[in-house]
Amino acid sequence: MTLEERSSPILKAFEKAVAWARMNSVWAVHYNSGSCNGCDIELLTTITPRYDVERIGIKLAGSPRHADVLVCTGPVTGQGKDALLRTYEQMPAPKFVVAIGTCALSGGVFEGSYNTYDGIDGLVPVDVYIPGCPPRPEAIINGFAQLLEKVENYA
Amino acid sequence: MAEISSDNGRKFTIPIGPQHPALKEPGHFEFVVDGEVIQEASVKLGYAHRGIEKIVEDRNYTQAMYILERVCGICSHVHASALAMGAEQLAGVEAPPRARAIRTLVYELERIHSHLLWLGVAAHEAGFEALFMYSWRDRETIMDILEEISGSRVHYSVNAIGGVRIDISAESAQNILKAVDFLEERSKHYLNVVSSDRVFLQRSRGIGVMSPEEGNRWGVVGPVARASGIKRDVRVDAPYAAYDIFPVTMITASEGDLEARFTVRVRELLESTRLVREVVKNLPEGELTTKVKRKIPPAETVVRIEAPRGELMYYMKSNGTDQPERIHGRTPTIPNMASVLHLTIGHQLADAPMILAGIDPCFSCNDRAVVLKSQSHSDLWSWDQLRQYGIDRYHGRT
Amino acid sequence: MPEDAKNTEETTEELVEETVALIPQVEAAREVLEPLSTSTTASGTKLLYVAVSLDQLNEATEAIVGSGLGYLISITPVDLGVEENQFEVLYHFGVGPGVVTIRITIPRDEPVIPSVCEQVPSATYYERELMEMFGIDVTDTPNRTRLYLPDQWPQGIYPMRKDYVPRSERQLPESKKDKV
Repeated sequence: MTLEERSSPILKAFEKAVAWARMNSVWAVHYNSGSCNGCDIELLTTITPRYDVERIGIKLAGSPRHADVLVCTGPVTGQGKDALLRTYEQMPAPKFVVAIGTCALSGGVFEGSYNTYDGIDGLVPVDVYIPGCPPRPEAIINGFAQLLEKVENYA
Repeated sequence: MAEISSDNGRKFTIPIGPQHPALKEPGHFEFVVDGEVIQEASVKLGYAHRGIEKIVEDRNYTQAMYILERVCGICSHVHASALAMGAEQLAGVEAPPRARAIRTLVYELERIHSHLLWLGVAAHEAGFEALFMYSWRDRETIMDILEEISGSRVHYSVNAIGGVRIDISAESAQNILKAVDFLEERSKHYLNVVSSDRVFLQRSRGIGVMSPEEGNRWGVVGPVARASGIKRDVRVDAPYAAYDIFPVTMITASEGDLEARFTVRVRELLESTRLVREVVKNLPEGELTTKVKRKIPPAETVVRIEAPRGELMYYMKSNGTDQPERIHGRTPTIPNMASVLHLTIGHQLADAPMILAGIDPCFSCNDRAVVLKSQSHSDLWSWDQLRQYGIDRYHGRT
Repeated sequence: MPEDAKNTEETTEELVEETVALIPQVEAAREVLEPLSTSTTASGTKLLYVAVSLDQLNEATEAIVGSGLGYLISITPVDLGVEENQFEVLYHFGVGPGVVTIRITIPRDEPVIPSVCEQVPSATYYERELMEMFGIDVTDTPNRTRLYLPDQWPQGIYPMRKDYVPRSERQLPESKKDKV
């Protein structure tokens, strides 16, 4: 149901307030599904002083139960697959997924290996793809910015 | 009324991971605790197992080098250069002096980056967020340098089979010297912090003590071994690249606790800044690569490199074609992990993340654009655009 | 290709090696292993490969580790292929600046080796890798569970063997199938 279809103006206002609040404080949970750490350290760089995504309200949460966004890196290994799905299922709706790095998009250089699933979009729906091996922190923030647009329009 | 039993024999198993806030890499630990004290510890690895050893068997040497570089995003240079050095040994050639010196320079820059990264993560485990933020801010200095000389922040791709791909210009050399001056100052400050901050010392002094005998029994390597007084450093024992021209002073400590692991690593930062300065000032002139034949004759070799985390070994076997027959790597985390699980036993559960982070575990061990179907943003943001976005966003709040 | 032929011709010339004296630590290890070895090859001054028979493995390990000459760096299994029908297992020991490698050869259809965990406790991780990746049975190793391969990986399929066909054992998600 979209906002316009809702009948009660109070409910409508409430939904709007929730969407506003969500957009201004997006909490992310990071899951590494077998990446080489390159993307992970670049993601961590974005929360440290030089880049600091907290100024647009994005913060890494400790538990998937507190998170709005699943930030996923890596080509998804056989052992990591179930944990990825479990992490995704534990998140409260609405949930968004950001795939960081070429591996998470397509498997990257590990495409065709016996133990990888060639990217996460075959397993969970992805909202924003950020390519790069690894993407620069600026690229990651740009990806987050576009995610925020999506969050803002979600209701 | 239900009876409250005082069953002392009852123990709980606490699973940690693979998704956990403490470490940025996946690993699954199980701690069996009695109250707060750890009785047993075990690990399940393989969350980052990508089958790289199998993949490289059907790639040629140059392709394999790029795959090995992606074994680990933190110490990518050691893996790629191990393959380059191994292939050179198999082909019976030697990289030119300037190439060897540049490799050495990047080893040390990488060590600085890795140790600062670790310092931040370990401080984060101790709940010392300020140190985390400061060390990661300072780490950006080294990332800028690596980007300037190689074009990439993480996977530098410095190596080529037979030499290196990049050169150090006079301007870059000046920037490197400026950066290491700054980092030397900061490292001295960090040394002071990790050895004098009272709160921090309560989390590190006397925790996770490993005696040299234990260390030898478990075969630990790298800073963990050196913090327990085991004199083991491949750069000193078996100099490779240009470490014979630019000798390293081995940093050791005798306490073997977490504090010693902190101080050894921070003192290694100081040693690395000294080495970087020396290499940059005395960079030999000459060619960057020697020619290596595409097909490498059948032979086998072992390459040892001191990665930031400890000794890295690669066994390589060639079969006369342009593809390797077998490449097998042993990363430093494996022996250290075996020892550290042992160390957590008898400690409080709250100390476990610190002890684990103390070995700097690494489980896995050039694109600049975001392309999305959106009209509102350009594909690549400059720093100013990014800054402007933050300002606009802040002002645009309703 | 004419170019390839030229390359192989050139490389065979380079194979002729001159014999040079080993560095002292590696020489000491060579002397210790002399009575146990069936053949010894050196490559340069720092690398030594010593072949020993299967039942001498523990003794040879003890000879290096027990005397404090060196420490176990890693265990490398190599599949020599279906035609050769053999596995090689290489035990690399760091000996001063050099590396001494103990080489044992086992039949591919009955790959059983003894554990060296008695001598080197940290060998357990490498032995578990041998078991899951190559299907080499390491008798009396303390922990036999999987280390790297996923829990759902089928029994009896060993990915690092040369005759293993990648991805023969499991289904990919629908959307990724066309890639295989």
